[in-house]
Amino acid sequence: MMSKKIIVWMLIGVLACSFGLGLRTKRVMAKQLSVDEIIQRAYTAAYYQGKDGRSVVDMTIVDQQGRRRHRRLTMLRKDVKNNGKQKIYAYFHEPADVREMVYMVYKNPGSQDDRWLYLPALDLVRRIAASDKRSSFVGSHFTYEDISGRGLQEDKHILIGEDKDYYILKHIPKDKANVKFAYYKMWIDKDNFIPVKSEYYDQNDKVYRVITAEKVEKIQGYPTITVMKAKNLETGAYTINRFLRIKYDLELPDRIFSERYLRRPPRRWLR
Amino acid sequence: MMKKRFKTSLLLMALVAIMLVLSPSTSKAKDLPFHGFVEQSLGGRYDTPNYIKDDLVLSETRVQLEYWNALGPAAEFQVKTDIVNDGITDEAEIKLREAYIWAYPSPNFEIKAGRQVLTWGTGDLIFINDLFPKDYKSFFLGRDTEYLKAPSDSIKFSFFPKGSIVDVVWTPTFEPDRYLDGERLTFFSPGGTIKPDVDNPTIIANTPEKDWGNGELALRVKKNYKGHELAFYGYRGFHKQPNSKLEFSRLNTYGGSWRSNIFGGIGNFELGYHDSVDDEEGSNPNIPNSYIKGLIGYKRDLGNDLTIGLQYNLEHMQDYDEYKATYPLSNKEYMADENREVTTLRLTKLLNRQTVRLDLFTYYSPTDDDGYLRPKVSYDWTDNLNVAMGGNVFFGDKGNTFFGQLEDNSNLYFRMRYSY
Repeated sequence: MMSKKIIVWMLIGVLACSFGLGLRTKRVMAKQLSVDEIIQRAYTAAYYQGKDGRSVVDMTIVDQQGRRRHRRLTMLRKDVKNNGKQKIYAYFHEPADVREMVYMVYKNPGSQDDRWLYLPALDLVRRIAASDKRSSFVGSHFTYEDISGRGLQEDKHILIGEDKDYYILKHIPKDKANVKFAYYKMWIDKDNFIPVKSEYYDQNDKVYRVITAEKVEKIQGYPTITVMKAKNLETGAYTINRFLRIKYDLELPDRIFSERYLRRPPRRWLR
Repeated sequence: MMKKRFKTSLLLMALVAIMLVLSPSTSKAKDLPFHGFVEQSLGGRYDTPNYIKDDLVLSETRVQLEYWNALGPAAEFQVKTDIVNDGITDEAEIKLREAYIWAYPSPNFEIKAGRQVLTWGTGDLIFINDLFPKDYKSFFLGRDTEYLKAPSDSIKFSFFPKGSIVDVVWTPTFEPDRYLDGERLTFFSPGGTIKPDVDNPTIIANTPEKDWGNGELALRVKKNYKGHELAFYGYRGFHKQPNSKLEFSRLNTYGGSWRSNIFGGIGNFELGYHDSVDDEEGSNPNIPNSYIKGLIGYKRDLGNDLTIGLQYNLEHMQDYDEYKATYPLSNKEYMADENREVTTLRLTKLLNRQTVRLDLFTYYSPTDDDGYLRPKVSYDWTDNLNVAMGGNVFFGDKGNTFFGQLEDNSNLYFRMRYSY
């Protein structure tokens, strides 16, 4: 018969081991995540953080001669379903000739987005054809797809490696005719699933474009990219997006994302 | 007089240049309580006919000032005014473009009262159910497209039952289109082509007496159903253009429209019945007949910042037999067709990080055999300074059709705008 002392020590030993194991559980469990789970979490971290959000986007576009252009807009976002349908309301502050214009999108993953542009000088609600998501967003080095998210079902996702801090994924487009890149690689932070770097490769396996998360902060508990840079490696031109005045879970009313508020911007949320 | 005009233009370009140098970044712009622009425009005919003495159709300096502020938590107001120094008439004018109060006392009701620009309908430069006043003079002369829509002094009541929009616009004093009056542009008249005369425009029509019953009432009910925008429209008022007696006949319109994503692009369909109330039979030669108007359109993004849009518009005259029978015998060659068709094409291409915009909008009427081209090139030199150059090219076989009559007005224009 074992003495009580030994049993107690064994119990303590078992407890200690499980405690020690428990501390590493997060990372250990993370290692066992499937590729699908990793990309779903990264997609949420990049585009669906919180149930809704507001941020002011301050954009500096630098061309190959070093000349600068500046854009400033306030973006309101409301998730209808996590990683799924989403509504975006983007109110332009600068430059002066696009002031008070509003761009509104109902994101419909897997089918066409519904897009509108409101021109205040004419009181015109224009519906925008949504076919090309790869075109530049307001003349910056970010494409419309970079800003609103490229559909997860559009690429084949492969985990090509990992190091102590990042998952490294490779994404190959299913429809090669519709995109400029042959494939792109993504570095995803293992702790917060923020995609910190994306490299776009052409047909000759050469990187021609890089998007990097220059600064990541925790806002209301949500890891958030606050400075992002898109650089065209062929020309050296780049765009820096600074995300300011970020706030999540504002309980934005659904009715804001409608024609009514295209014509009358909801100042309360835009201040 | 030419010297003075030239001097003013030089002065203003110098002013714009100074503004450019002094404010390289636009970060100060958002701190200003006023916003707006300073614009210099110049436009003229490139093939002036013998009977017109002046090439110049547009020469102005325009300063727009816009001020917005809240009025408590449930209201706001906006004032937008243009100060125009017209180099052709040699006059300076203050034109109030917007001056309204917008109140939203409850979540389901809003009221916007005052001078405002209003637009609805699905057409691209074709209007079937949008009876709000249009400024065709500005449109044909090369002013910014914003000026096609003229403001009206109205009260707009908006209700929002269950996710739909109900707009009721009451305009107590009838606001006609800024129709061609012979001030600057020549056009057709059975009595002879109108020669433009800035000081004595030929056409001065009589608007209806200012009376409670002589206002305009416009209605729209709209709902977005799963990406399909459906709307119904109504209007009670007058024809926007004067009739041959230089008066405005009564008009009621009823219509509907649909717009949505389709076939990888945007499709739209609009229908309207224009009921010429004062001439229900169609037998009064001085009053336009009733019309059924329809529009079908499609636009698509072709990639690489190139978009294309196409429209087909049909205007079907009701009671055509009556119209034929009562048409004055002396002018039979100028009789309109029962069906007038107009097709439009819009091509837009963005270049150079979207700072250069090439735009071409074309109207072509296969039934009238005439058309109107609006090519334009625009460049955002800096974030504040834009330069634009374009043309208004009219062509047509006959001298009396809608676009053909304007052939001698074909012009080119140049605009430079500093926005702040």
